Amino acid sequence: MAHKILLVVEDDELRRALAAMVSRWAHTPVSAADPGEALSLLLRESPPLAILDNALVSADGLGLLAQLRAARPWTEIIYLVRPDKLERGAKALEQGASDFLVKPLSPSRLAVAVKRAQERLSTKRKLAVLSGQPLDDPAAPELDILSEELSHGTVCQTQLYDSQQKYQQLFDEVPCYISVLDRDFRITALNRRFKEDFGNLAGHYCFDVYKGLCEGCPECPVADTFRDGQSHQYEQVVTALRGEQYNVLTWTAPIRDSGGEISQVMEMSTNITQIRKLQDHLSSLGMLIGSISHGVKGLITALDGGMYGIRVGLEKKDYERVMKGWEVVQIMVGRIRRTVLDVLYYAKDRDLLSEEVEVAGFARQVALTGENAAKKQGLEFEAIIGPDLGVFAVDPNALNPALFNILENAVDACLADRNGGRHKITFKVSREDDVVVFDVIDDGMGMDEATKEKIFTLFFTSKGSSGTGLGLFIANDTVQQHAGTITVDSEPGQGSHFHVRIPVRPRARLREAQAGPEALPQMPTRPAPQTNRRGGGPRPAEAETR
Amino acid sequence: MAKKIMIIEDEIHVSNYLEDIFRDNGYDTVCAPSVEQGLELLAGEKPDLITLDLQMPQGHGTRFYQSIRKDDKHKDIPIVVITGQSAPHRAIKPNKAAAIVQKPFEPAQLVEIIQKVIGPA
Repeated sequence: MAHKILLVVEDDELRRALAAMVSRWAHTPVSAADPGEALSLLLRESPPLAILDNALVSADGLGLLAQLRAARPWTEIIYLVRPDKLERGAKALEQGASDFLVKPLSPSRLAVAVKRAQERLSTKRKLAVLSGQPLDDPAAPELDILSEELSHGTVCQTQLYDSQQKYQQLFDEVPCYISVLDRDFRITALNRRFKEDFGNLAGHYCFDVYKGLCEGCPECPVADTFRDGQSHQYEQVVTALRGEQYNVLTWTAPIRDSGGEISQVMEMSTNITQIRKLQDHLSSLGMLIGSISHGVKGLITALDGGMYGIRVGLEKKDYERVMKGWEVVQIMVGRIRRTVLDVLYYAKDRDLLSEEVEVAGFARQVALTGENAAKKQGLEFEAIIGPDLGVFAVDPNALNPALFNILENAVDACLADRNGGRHKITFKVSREDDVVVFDVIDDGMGMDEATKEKIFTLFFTSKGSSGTGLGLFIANDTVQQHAGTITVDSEPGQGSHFHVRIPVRPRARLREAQAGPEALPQMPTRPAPQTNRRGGGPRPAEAETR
Repeated sequence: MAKKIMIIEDEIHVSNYLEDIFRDNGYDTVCAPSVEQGLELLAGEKPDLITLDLQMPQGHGTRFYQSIRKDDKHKDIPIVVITGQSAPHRAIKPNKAAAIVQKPFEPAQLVEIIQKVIGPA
């Protein structure tokens, strides 16, 4: 026989779970939203059992318990408490609750409590008969919540529910990102870790949320798994909610329905950012040598050109040619010097030596070196240094070359623009609240999307043999050390706009970032952002001195 | 009329350097900063020799090398590869290129090589 069971629970999730359990026992859950409704439902429906949560916003749980007991003494009440409120459970028993249960609830414990309530009710009925009390009270119901034929099913269901809970817990806690996709590439399930780092993307199409595409990706391991039923593996770079980029290694696995057909595919991704970083550093040390030797060969050849010009000019007493050669020598020696310094910077882990620096003075210094570089190449240069810039706590010896690298890049972009015309570089410094903003704007050759995406990558250069691919990498690295950002707007043929933002208190900003929730608990050795950027290992400089 | 050398080199200072060397030795020169412009220039120019840089941002020198080797009109123009790469691309067959010159080079050696291939200006 189906009974109505009153649920007085304000927590939506708990109420839904209880309603589901009650429904599985073939009873009807009736939920009360507030104490008034609880009382009126109790009087109207005369449920044999009520489940009452201690955690009510609109009333005191124990108070309501007393009211319910007074209104319908036949109704058994199970009282729910949090583990830290056990004394409230004890009080509930004193006030006549048949049992109290500690949250979170397990169906098996609830079943035991219901059985107890049933026994109490049946004892009450026997006592009533013995003491000659009338049993025609409509509020004296039968209670066969766990009848014999139901109890076996209930046990199975309880076990099923428990094991479902266990698997859900495993699914959520496994130290990987797990998502499940259906045949339309719609995300149907996500584990907790995935939701934490990437948001709850359930219901979205994967190609839309991961890649911003409006239809499937050209090469899709999930599609491959749907096709051949095999596990496929791939590596990708993904952007988390907080904007960090993670390298993840993803495996796919088919999920088959009862008919053996692959109905869904699971993607399981492991965060391998740390490993990639180490690997990158190791391989980059090797590449460094190749890249530098190639770049330096180009620089030396051009330097030879300058020296050749001087020699021939002297021989022919052509002083104009001597001067031209001398200019080339100056430019090339400057570039070689910077390349060497970049290499030294890269080879050596360097902590910031921050000090209070007056922004306007610092900006003027950067502008001066930028102006020299631009004017030497016959480019126009404008520095716009705004008012009220104040001070910021930075390492000027690191930040100055970083900004100069960007300015120098602008000079190169103008020189590389073979469309001719007069070029101009604008260096603008302003303050927005607690951030100092440096804008470097050129009207040089500009960049296409592919170049733009790669400019901060180590060893990427668009300058052929004259670039080493270190300059902007180091600029970006330094700006990040200062808790700042660099963004770039650029169109081919239209020039580029580098936008550098440095907080006035980088250390405080970095501390805040560190104090935030650890994004990757499975990576306990993750280094702090401002120190040991490139991990351990012997440093070339140290090795040499021994 | 002096023999003409086409210089395909993206780095302006190296390009100027080569131009100086060749002019000082009596050759005429024409310069292209990219593979694309080199190919365009060939429509109106008939150089006696081409010097070719390999690693250029707007397109690798091998592309120029391969397209010119397929072009009946220009396939016989000798090409001297001037590169900073220690092992030039395998597309550059040493027996097909007139010479491969490593950067940095001695101007006198380069002139010697050029003269061996096309004779004095």
